[in-house]
Amino acid sequence: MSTLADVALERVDSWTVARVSGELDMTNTSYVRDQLTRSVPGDVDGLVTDLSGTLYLDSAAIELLFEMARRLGRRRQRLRIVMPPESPLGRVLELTDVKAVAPIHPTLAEALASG
Amino acid sequence: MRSPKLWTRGLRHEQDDLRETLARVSESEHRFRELADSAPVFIWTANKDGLIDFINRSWLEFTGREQREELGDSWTVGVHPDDAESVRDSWWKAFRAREPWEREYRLQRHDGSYRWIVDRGRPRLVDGTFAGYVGTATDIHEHKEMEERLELAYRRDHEIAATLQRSLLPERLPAIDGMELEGRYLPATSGAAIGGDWYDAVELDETRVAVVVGDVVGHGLRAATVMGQLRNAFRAYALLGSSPAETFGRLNRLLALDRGDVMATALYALVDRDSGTVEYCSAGHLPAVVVGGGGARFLERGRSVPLGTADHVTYRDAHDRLEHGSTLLLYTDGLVERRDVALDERLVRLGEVASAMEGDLAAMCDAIVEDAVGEGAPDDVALLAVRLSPATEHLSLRLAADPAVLAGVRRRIERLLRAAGASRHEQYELTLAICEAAANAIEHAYGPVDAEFELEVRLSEGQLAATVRDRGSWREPRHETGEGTRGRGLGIIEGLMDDVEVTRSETGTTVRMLRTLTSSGDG
Repeated sequence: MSTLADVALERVDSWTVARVSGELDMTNTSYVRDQLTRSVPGDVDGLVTDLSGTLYLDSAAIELLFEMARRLGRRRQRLRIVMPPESPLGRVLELTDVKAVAPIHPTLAEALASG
Repeated sequence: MRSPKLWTRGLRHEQDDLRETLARVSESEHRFRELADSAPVFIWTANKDGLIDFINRSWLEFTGREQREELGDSWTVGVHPDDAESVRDSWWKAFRAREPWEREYRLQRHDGSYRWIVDRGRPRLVDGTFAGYVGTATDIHEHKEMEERLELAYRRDHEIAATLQRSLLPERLPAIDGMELEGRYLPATSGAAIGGDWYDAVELDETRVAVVVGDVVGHGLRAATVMGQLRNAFRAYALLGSSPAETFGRLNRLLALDRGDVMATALYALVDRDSGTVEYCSAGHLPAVVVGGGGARFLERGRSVPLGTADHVTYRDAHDRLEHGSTLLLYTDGLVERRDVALDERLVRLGEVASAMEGDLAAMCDAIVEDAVGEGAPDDVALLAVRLSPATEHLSLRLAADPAVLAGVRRRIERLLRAAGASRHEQYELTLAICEAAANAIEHAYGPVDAEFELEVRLSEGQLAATVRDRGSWREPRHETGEGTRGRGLGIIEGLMDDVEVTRSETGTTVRMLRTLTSSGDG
């Protein structure tokens, strides 16, 4: 259980959407990892991790994004990330080059619509 | 002037009078004793030396002894050994002073059992002259036992209510960064008055703190239980982020739903630690006091009826401002209501006492309670004092090497940055960089139990300088495998800060970081 972050899961079309709200740090990444890995069945295209409601994420959470991309890749599934352009988190995703493993979309609709 | 002859005749007359009187007394005494013997109560008389000279039949039937055994000063023979001495002492004391005497004690019955009786004696005057005592006693055993059972039940009720009350109040007020909190609760000193007073403080988010004081109308167990329900409901509604008025609207509906006959007054103040704004609402509660700058003022707007008075009440919020360093006082009526003093006077007095003690918050609370309550509280007293700490530009912390401390560290750094006018982006980026260094320090701290690390943040002239120091050995980043999260951590620190310096030595690692703030609040 984590009090800092909350993960809301939903199936939208052929994707699993995970809305992560609150704060992600080294104390709750394993909780979030469990939530995410359990939520992606074999018949979906992949996982959209929506960080619109995420207030804080640290290097442990960035590492989790890389790990999820690797896991999904092995199953021929994909990871997409939603992050509004005005989010303070943007620079860190840029610095760590997350887009090399998962495309970053400004809205959930765009993430789902993207080919 | 009288002649001697007349004088002797006068004397003879007086002697005749005395004889007549004695005869009358003797005759009336005879009638008295007859009457006394037929009375269901115990009746006794004592002579002018304090010795028993008559005991009626009811008494003798009770004790199963003969009249002669009870006369003189042997009547205390049947008194319970634990009571005998005090009964004798009190009797002789009253007798010497010619004062009425009353005593409850246990007296042995003919069957050997002891029964509680109440015994009362009054001085007897015959023509204005002290002639001894006449007394009556009654068996009050059942009454006494009932009284003891009631007393026990009552005491138990009081104890349960007091325990419940204590367990429902926050054991310790939470430590809230940027704010000092002091609470005082005094249960009523007289038994039945223990009631449903409560206070609470809840940190809602990075800036806002909910503080509340309430008083459930009524006393005893019921009030204490309702208080518990209200307190929990309050926390839940406050955490939803609703305004004080909305929160009270919900609590009111809850009370109306649950039990139509319960009422409570309450005052809820939502305090913003950064701006000092106070949003508040009073449900029939006494006004909060703001103490600062040598004076006191009352928050008297935002008033409405108590919770539970009507099904639908529209509560209204009022707004005020709390300067850094000034104090907000919330309290229940037990602190200020006294039968003999007008409420206005008491409120003025409260303001004066508080203003005179502005330095230390705990001392202020002690002084207020001491002045208001003194030797004992006729009703429950609850007091909650809130003070905004002055904005800080410096943090110096020694922390346990435990990832659980990180969330608290983030709050403190964010608050410091917000106060300095840093943008949302800067707040996040700087907090992240410092916390990455802190996470490093925590991970280094393998080995010694209870390891610690130090963190210092200083703002000066638009530049932030942060230092994180640990006593562990630095772990080399494991970039090449792509799995070293700490390696990524250092990359993040370097990417977010203008200047980073890592010093590693035998005794530990120090990370120094610098960044100039560019903005003053663009988000």
